Amino acid sequence: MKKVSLSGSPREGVGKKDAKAIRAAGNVPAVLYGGETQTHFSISRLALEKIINTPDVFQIELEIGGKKTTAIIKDMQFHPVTDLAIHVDFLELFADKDVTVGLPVRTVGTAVGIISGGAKIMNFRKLDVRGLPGDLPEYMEINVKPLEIGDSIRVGDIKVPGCQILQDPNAIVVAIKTTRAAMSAAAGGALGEDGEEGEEGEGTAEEGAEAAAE
Amino acid sequence: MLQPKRTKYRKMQKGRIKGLAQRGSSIAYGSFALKSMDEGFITSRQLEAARVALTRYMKREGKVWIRIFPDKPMTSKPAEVRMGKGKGAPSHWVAVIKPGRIMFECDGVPLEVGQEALRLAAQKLPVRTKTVVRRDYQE
Repeated sequence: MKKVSLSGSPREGVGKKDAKAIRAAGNVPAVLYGGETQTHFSISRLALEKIINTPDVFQIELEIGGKKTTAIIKDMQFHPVTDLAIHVDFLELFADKDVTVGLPVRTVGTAVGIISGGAKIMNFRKLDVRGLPGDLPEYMEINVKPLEIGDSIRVGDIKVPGCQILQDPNAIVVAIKTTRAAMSAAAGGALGEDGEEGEEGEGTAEEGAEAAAE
Repeated sequence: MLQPKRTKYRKMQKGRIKGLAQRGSSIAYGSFALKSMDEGFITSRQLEAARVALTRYMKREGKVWIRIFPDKPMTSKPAEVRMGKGKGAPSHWVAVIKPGRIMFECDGVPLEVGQEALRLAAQKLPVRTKTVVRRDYQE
């Protein structure tokens, strides 16, 4: 996993008033747990936004009041309207203790099926992986080059050395499916415009029938 | 248009919309979404108009999710009828929206197409909206 450093300052008091004051000052209240004790602290919002607004997963070196620990982001809460982070949970990491992380799935290459008119369907952006912090990769790479239309790659086909993927092994991660454009092109291309008109026509017919029923 | 298959009661009291959306405020399925900034009632007709605008701009590629459902019956009295004599007849269905609620999500199209499609859909809705993009979105 990628590493990044963050520094936080311990919270003097906990509670709603204190948390609101922290947020007003441009910081985010946070908690670190997983070790012997839990620590309440606050971190800069700007520094946090750089970590959370990426597809990557980071191993964070936290410095709270001079004490250094390694952690991952376990949970986050966001404001429903402004979408700003309002609280972050960090889970302390230990070299000999397994941890569960949602690792990003990335595809490599252009599938044969896409060249012949198919579309790539990604069912999972991240997969839950359990393993020692040292064994966890940055991301999982899937080679989709040999996939043709109708082919798929399942969770069971992905191997991460030293780690276990927690999702159902039969679950499809990537599939190449036929697009509507490809289907209409195969049918002769004449249906494209007519099909669209047909759908709109159906909508108005339904509306008319409902209005009549009322 | 969307409406419940069957309900326990035909009519419902008006109620008041208080507070912010406590659930349904984050993107769950797609990469781009339309979030409400106001509270309000969205009728099934408005919802359908927005869906048509969205799918038409996306040229029926990609995928669309509707995250709200009009499950509240609204009633209206006939024209030129004096007040009283009971509540009016059910006329349409609405979805109750609180600020922060994700209403539409889409995926499978480029960012610019998704954002423009959602902007067009927002024109059909009676609330202020904003377009949101998944935090881990990657082209």
